[in-house]
Amino acid sequence: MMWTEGFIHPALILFLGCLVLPLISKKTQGLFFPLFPLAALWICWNVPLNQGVQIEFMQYQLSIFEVDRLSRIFGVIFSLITVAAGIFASHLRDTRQHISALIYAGSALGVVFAGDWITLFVFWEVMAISSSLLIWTRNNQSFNVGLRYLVVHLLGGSILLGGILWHIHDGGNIIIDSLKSDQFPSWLLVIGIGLNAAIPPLHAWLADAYPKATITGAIFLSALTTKSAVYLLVRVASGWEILIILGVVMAVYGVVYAVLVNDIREILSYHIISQVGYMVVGIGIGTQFAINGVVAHAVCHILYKALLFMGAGAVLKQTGKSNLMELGGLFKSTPLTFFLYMVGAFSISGFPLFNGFISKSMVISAAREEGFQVIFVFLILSSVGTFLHTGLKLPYYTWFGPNRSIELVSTPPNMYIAMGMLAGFCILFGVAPSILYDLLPYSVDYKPYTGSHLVESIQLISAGFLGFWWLRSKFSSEAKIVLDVDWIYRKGFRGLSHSLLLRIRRLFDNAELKLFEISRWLTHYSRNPSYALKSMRPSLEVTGSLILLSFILFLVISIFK
Amino acid sequence: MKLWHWSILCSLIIGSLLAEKMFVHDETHVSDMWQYIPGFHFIIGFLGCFVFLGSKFLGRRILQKRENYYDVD
Repeated sequence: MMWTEGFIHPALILFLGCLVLPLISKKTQGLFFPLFPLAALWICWNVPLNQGVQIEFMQYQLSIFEVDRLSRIFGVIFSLITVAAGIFASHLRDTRQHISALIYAGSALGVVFAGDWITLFVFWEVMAISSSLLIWTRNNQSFNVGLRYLVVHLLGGSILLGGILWHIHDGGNIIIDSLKSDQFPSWLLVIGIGLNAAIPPLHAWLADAYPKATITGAIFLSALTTKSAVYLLVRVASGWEILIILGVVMAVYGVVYAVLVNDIREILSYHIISQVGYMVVGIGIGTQFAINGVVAHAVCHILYKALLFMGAGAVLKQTGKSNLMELGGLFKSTPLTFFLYMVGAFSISGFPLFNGFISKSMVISAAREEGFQVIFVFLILSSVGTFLHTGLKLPYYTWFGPNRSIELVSTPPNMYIAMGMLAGFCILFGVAPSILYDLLPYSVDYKPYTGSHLVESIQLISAGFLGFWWLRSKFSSEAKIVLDVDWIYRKGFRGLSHSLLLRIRRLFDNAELKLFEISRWLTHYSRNPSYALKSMRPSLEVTGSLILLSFILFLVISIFK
Repeated sequence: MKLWHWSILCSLIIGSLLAEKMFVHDETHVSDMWQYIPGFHFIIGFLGCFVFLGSKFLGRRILQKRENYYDVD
């Protein structure tokens, strides 16, 4: 049912892993884990293009395994990153995390290869639930974060479902195809997808949840959720001009927030928002060159961001700390982690010979070629911010800042192997971009290594470095948190419930108490009304007043009658 | 930073600014106002540091709160 031309759906391989892993001893589970995504990778790489598997469900024809150039490259990179993250996590003896990660990666592959909205929605929801388990399994403190993450994603899923139902009801095709921006259900669908892509103001879940995930879980999270949403936006919303604006807002927003936060994984999380912003801009531009840029940047971003999260995760593993204020002077004790992290940092900053150079520039060039001059400047500006924080501030204050004499725990060698593997890919695509360009959805006629591009990059990087070095003390972090849109549901709603709901509840509570009091009084006196006379001992003044009032009343009635 | 670090940095800056004269206008296919500003990427890179410092200054006053902000009612 779920195979084409002899190829089984790669998601099924990962789901099969969930059944097999619990049967293996905990010591060796981690070693077997990467074999499943490796098999999925082989399938994604070799499955013939433009093949589809359809099954009948109620009156609908579901396309559960649609392969074209776009879905294949996302399938390949998702599988590859699951292999790398699996190696990074192979020392773990935690079946829950292994299984959650396999279900999560499998459902992400399900989303990528889904040809219809119903199949997509099923995998979409499985992805939300399984990914929240990677946050929950960390410790008791992460329970609330995981719950918020899940509720936000289920809300996004509900909006998506509403869009799907409305879209089909309006006679829309069940097959996933480009959407028209003048139809309301299309907006619901794009909002539902946009939440997973962390498009503001639906982005706060990302920086709230990713820093609280498990060390290894954050690698899967950084790679799969936002990029599967980017993939879908490429499919359905290419050329939606509003995405250009939203994308550039994301690119700048992420960088501005990254300046303010203290947790190293939170800095990296805000940079996911910023980097996905470039992709969203490219989707909004919608030309073949821009879409190639989006896909290339998604692939490169998955590689270097996972590497950066691995570096930050390794620091957390070694020191037990992730706040920049508490870190410093680690270079002498953990030089290998530093060098591997820096490969990711050079890549995200767009250094020549690293993969960010050959992918980010495609989106920026597409914006420039289409005449978006202001957008172009903002994208360049956020590149500077990315280099400042991920490439300079974070490594400077972690490995070179004041030495805080932190006791270190040894790093499992598998972590270095996974980081080395991703660093290798970052450099490979940077040195030989044609390997990546040949896999893109459209043919590529772009040469990243031109004199002008090299000169521009060197100017940007050297100026950024000079500025940082001059102002470095002012860029240091503070032991504080930063408010984001999640304030609305973390504090705002609580405040609203305190100020409104609590008062209303008190009103009802008081009314209830009064009612009980009255009913008790009535019960008491209705047994024997003479109790009322006994209990009433009015004073002489009151009796006199009552007589006087009765007399006045009698007089008034007599006069008017 | 040591002297040789500064030497490399200065050579990169001066070299890239000089190279811009030779490369950029010959190879670029786009024609926008930015290409007429000499050292445009250098200027953006340097000013960018001040832009983000300014955003940090504003963010500290408006958005930063103590670490237990969400834990306390």
